[in-house]
Amino acid sequence: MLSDKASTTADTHDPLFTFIMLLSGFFFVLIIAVMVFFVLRYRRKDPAQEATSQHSHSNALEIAWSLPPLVIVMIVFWLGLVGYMSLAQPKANTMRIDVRAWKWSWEFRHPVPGSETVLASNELLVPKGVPIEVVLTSDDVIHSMFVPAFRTKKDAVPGMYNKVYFEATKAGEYPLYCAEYCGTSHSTMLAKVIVFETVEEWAEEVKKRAALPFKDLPDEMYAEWRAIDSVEDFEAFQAKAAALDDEWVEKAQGLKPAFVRGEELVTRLGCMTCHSIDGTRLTGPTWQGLFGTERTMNDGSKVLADDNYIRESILQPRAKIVATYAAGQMNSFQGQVDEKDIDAIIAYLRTLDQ
Amino acid sequence: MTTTHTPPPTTPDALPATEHAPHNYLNETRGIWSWMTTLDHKRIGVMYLFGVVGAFFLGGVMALLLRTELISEGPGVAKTIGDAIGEGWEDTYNQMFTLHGALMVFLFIIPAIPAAMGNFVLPVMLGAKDVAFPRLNLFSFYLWCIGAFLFIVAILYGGLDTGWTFYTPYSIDESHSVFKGMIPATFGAFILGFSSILTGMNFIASIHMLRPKAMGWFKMPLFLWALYATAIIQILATPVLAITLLLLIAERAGDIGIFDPSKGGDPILYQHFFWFYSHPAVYIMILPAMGVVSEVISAFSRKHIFGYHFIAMSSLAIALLGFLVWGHHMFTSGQSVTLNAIFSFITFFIAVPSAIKIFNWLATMFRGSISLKTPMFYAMSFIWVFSIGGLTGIPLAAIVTDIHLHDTYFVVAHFHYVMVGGTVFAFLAGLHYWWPKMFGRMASEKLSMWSWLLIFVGFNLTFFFQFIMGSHGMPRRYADWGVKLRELGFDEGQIELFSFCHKISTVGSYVMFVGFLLLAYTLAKSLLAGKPAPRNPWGANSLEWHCSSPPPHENFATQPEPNDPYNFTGWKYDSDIDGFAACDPKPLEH
Repeated sequence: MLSDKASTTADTHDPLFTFIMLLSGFFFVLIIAVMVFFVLRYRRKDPAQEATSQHSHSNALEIAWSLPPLVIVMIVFWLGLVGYMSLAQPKANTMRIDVRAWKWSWEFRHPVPGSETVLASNELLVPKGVPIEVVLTSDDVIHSMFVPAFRTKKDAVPGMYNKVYFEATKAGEYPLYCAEYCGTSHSTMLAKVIVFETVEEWAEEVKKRAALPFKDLPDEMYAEWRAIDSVEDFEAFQAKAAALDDEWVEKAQGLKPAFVRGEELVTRLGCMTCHSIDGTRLTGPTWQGLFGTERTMNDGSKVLADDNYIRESILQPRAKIVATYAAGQMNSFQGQVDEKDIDAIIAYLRTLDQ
Repeated sequence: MTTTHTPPPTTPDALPATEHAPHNYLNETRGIWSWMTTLDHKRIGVMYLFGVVGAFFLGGVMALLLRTELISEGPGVAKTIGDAIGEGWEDTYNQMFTLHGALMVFLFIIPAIPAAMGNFVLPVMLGAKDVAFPRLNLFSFYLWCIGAFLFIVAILYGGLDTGWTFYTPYSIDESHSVFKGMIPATFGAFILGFSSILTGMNFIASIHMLRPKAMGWFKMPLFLWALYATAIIQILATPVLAITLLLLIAERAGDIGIFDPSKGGDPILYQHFFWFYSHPAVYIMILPAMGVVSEVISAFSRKHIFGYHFIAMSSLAIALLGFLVWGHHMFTSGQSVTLNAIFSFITFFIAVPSAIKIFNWLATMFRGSISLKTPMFYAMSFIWVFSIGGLTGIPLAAIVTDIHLHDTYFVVAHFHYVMVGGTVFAFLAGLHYWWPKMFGRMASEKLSMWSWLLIFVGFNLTFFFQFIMGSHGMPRRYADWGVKLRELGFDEGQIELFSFCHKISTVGSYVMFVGFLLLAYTLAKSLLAGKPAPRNPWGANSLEWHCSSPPPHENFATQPEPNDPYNFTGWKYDSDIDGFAACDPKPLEH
């Protein structure tokens, strides 16, 4: 009852699904066979015919037919949970792809190999055999990313970053659907997933697609763009592009990587007054090596500094206070930043490794 | 269970002298006004019956239009209708599935068995003259009418396209959901909720206060246990829906920012609120259905119901567990791993009381004298469809499989097997079972069986193939399943399967429709020219079969003395009346 599978999730999902279907089939046939047998055997042939027994209770029987279903469903629960746990947890060396959904389209942001820049595409490109972390959000209403071949689905919720992990196991092209009803063109909110046989093939394709906007420029301009690592780098790139061609003043602006915009934003908003990026302790915690690490809060709880934590810290800075720091020092930036700004700031923080 | 020898509940002279009372609740007073102002639970039940059947018809027409649209790729009947009303075809489709769901859930399935049949049968089963609060009962009916009216207003005023679930933020932003019917429809659902709460209160009070002394809790017919468990859910869960819908209206009209992420709200919070009601609501739909099936299977097997206590308690267990599983609708929403695990765990427990009921019904049939009349066929169909509906709930409760199946046609098929399969088949079992009591006329057995066959076959054709395309990834609420796939180059494999399954499903829905038309014809014919019904055509022993068909206005002249409702020895088949005549009951040897 299942289509071609192409991910490790499918390897976990399919045997359990098949097991449940066989189990269900067995019980269904059993119930119906017993019912039909009783109908044929005990059919009322004469309107005055009476039942041959009035036996009406047996605790032993009740227990006998309650326990097996209980045991079976507990086993199924356990298998379902274990399978899910293996998928819901991050694996080592995952490749992160950001997904932004809106009515009625998808944007998949792939890392460009050997670069801090990203390739934004309406197709999802992944290499076979590499664990992928997808971080989803939405611009408007709730959408849901569904790839049947991967047996994977996750809602894209506005104002929230959801994560899902998978690993493709078979090269090919697969449909990706929006599974959460989102209005007029919900049924055309499809995209294509392309799985590449090797990481090299994937990297080549990603670089090729990332180079497309530079096709009218000398090759070194694309190399220059890929090497961008800070606001200064981008400004230098922009200046060079403008010098080559007038049209490129505007075009280059469109190629500004999100983390560059993030760096501009945090400078403009004055974040650096209280947060350092080199490990120095200021009023607030440093951002160096912050993203993706576990932090201890002043109530002793541990929090993973991920997208949702960063978003919350910007909009509701008093919700969680890092241990040893004073509460109430920062005011909310609600209204001063929008969702795309938050995206950009997160992209910037991700570049600040240890 | 020990059964003491008790005389027949009512001596024949306490009843009208004939099988067919010259004066009954239908002809005691005449005129529309006498119906509109009636406090008689039987008349209110009949009015509900006509109301919910009307809603079922409208919702059914929507379903047929949806299936017709999906029979082929690209714009179809939705475009024809859309052109006529000046909407795009996709928006037209989206409105149709929203109205189908909202009409069926709020106006039909939730009130169908409790409000229509429960109202008619509950007081008679208790040997009472009426429910505890007859005026409140009439008020509940008018609330239902107001709710229904608001839905009509919503349709005429501009429709709505949010799905019956009204998910935020889609439903709160006017730039997303442009249709103006949103507020009247939500307000309608709010009013219907009150109708449901008040009916539940009325039933609980009636069962507590009006039971005859001889009818202990465990001597009640199981239909009353089912209505009691249902009423508990109605009272405890429906207020949450009311609050949620009010918040939604406030959010849409006043932008207060509870659910709107752009104002710091949380759209997932809405889903928690909504399913906190709407999951228990599934049991509001199915528990009364199970009650009907318990009555019918025992009576038509002429055998004492097996495992009375277990069936009664499993209703309460389902009602209780139903409150603790709402999060299984949200496994892909971003809910934490821990919550997903807890909700999945509790959900699985519902399998046990459900299985207990099925096995006890089968055990009741064992060594019975099984009468193959229409109500029994519907009750056995219930076992068929509910087994499929229940078993396909297992992969939806297991998290790893649900992630794949969530929001696909697998879920659509699953809940139609439970809700239509469960509730509608039990509703039809109850309708054929109590029809002679309600209207004093027999329906043609031959025509009824034909309509059963068409409905049963049509239903399975419609929904079974949806499991297959769903597990292959066909998402639900799609106005079209082919054009975009082809555009992306996926023109082989899955798309052929989708095409095949959608076509069969549509054909099945037409077969079902013909079945329902035949059913309507059969019942209309019975009303006009049916054979007069005997007091007890099926030989059942709950108290409604002790009064004439149809019952007199006050049901019983004196309060009857009930005995075991599943001891059928007090009724012997009498070929003169083609029904069962009272005789001395014997104690049962269990």
